Amino acid sequence: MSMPKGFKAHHGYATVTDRGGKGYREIAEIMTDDGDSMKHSAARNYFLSGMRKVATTVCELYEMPNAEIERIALDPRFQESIADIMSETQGIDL
Amino acid sequence: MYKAYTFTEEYTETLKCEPSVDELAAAVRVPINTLRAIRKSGAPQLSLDAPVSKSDSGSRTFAELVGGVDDKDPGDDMDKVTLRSALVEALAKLSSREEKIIRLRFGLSEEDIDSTNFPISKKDFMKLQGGC
Repeated sequence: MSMPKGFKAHHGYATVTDRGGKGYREIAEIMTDDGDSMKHSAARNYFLSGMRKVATTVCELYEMPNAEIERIALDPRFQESIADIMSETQGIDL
Repeated sequence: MYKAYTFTEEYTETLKCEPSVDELAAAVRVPINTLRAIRKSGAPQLSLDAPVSKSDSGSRTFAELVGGVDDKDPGDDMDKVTLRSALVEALAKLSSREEKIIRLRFGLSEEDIDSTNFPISKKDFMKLQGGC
């Protein structure tokens, strides 16, 4: 199913290509090759699920309403800050 | 200022309490706002470069104690540290599948030698080995 017409993220999209990041189709292919068969939509769902988990922590910390979780998880600025933290903690067992 | 001081002294001596601002203003015949302004201007002036402690010449100066307007709020830095550690904890709770997908999405590979995503030929590999 294609994205609804006219959809636009409030703050654009996280710049993953500049970082050497992959699209959901590529990710799905890699995961499938590694024995974890999945479609690109599932890859996107897992990615957003992870973002939601982290966003939940932020909402709990600042006592924000649960309705904010989705907005924060989808915000490219939040996603890029997560990428920065993961990049800095790379090699360290989280 | 002198008039106000004298009146306050006399008033305190006679009535055993300090005059109110209204009474003082009426006594020296100036408006209340003017009296307040005179009082403010009469406050002792301090040099920012003067030491805080008079007995210790090597003590810190007032300028060192008073933050500038552009100074960062230490509370903000503390918030950032708290948020960061909370995020790191939250990332640790991700499932291995979620973590792997997020790392791939952001182009973060855990392996130093990622021959799958960055393949090199055997010839190039041998060349690199020979160069070391």
